[in-house]
Amino acid sequence: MPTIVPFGPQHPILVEPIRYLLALEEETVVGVEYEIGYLHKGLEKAMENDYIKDIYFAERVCGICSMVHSTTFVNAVEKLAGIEVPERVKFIRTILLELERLHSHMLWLGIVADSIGFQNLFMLCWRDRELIMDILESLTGNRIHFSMNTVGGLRKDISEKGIRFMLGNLDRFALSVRKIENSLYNDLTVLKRLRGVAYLTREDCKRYGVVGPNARASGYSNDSRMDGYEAYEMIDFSPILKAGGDNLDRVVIRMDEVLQSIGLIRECVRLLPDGEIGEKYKRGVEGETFFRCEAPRGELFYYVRGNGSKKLERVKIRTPTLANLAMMEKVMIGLEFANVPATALFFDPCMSCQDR
Amino acid sequence: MKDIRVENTDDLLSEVGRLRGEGARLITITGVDLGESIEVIYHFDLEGVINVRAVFDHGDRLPSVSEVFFYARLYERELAEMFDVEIEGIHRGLLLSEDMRGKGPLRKRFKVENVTLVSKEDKYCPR
Amino acid sequence: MGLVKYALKNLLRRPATVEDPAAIPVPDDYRGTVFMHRDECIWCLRCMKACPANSIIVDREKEVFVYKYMKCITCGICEDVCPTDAIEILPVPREAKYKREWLEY
Ligand code: SF4
Ligand code: SF4
Repeated sequence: MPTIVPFGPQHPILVEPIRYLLALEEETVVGVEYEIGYLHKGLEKAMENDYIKDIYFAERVCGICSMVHSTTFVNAVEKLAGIEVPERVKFIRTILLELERLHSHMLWLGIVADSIGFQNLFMLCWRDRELIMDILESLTGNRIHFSMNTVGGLRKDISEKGIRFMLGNLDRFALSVRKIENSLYNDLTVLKRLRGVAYLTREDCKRYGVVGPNARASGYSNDSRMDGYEAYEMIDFSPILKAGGDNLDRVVIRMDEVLQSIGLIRECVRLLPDGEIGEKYKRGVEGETFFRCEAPRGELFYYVRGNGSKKLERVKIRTPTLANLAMMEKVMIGLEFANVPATALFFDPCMSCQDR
Repeated sequence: MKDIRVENTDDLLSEVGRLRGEGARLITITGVDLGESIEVIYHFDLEGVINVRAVFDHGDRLPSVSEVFFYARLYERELAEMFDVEIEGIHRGLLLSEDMRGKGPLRKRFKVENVTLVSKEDKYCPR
Repeated sequence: MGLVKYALKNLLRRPATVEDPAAIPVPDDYRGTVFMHRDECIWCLRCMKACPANSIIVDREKEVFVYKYMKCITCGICEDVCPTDAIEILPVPREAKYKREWLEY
């Protein structure tokens, strides 16, 4: 007879509320049930509204990756309206998307380090994340919710001064990432806590519909950036794959993606063309469409349907974290109870966008 | 983008099974309220996005594809509670709280204006 | 040995945190607080209609402009749509302490 142990919604390790019910036999997990919805905001209903206002609602789906939400939504509406945005807009959006990936991965690494008892690394990660936040603040005028996108282009151009500041900070950031990598991979305790834990094969990933870096850490390649939205078709890009599929590889792949993103940003800056930043589109949209982008946590999917006026009929948001929730039932089974908190965080949960 | 329209339940299940055999991944299930009926769109990823769409009446019992795709259960639970429809073998309730059961907030008949804010009733901020 | 050196180096560094949030320099186009110049306003109600958070209420007859501090998401649309530039978004960071009347919804 297994014992049922609740984990969450309030737990020191969880930043946001989610509830797991774990069935334990001695110290081993034999069954999992989850309960979500503590942060449900009803945004899909709220977005049956003027699409200009919806951009700002879309941005507020998630408190970490706001740019990717607004970019996906704006791209979907642009697809409906049949507008092609200028090249400069595409490059600036790509730069911001990649900057967002940097700070999201650093945030994740900090929280994960904290959960395995590596407090010092948590502080270091979050200190270096500030470098990226400063860049974003100086480029867009806000730290998290940039409000840069509009249907048909951008609301604000980025300045030469901002770009110089960005490149300077990125160099410093790259240096500290190397240092963090060094201390992380050479720490015996960390390696012991991570290697071989919460193993997931490529077939499992397929079966449970895993997306994003978690899938790529198991060698299952799905990266929506290969679709070539925004400037990704114009720059040299191919996703990083790892074959291990355990918690260690999930750390390694994110660190590698951080370094890759820095390279992508530098390349975008090198190729950044001059020109217009687009014009605001004001007419109504009709028809239905979808768009998907690669958020820091995986594939983000928007479905938009318009009825000819400015008000949209339906907007559906599928966030990567919701897709990744299904595999919790698989990975948790067979774990030691002590590894549950860290594993719950290793899949990069973000309850805010999971519940919408 | 490929669009496949299916007429009845059996067609839907066989189409979904065929896509599974070809190695597709279910992205999500979208419901759209058309007034009288509900349109359900299954988005698949197979080198591009494939949409399979079916139209059901509100009273109908919808089939479940969670036999074929394990993780469809999540999206079906959400669909069932957001549109207040019955889905074979799926219990409602994923995101909403108890007092919203059976209201189907994404239906067109549901008006946000009719919802009372809790904080106003509770005198959350007394002065 | 390495630890001692590291500790000494960190002792001499500037702290990574800043004590008073108001002391952090913000960029010029930082979006902080909405400010409205009364004498330039032509009471066209455009800002009220465009605001996604419904945080502006303008009454044309009585000539009142109500700005709800806590509802505003500092998106900057009101500044964009205002035909006479009566609305300005100042680079003043939000305060950590709130007054009671700001909390009103
Ligand atoms: S900044 Fe945005 S939310 Fe704030 S008052 Fe202006 S339009 Fe409304
Ligand atoms: S948009 Fe400008 S001019 Fe019009 S009501 Fe608002 S503040 Fe006044």
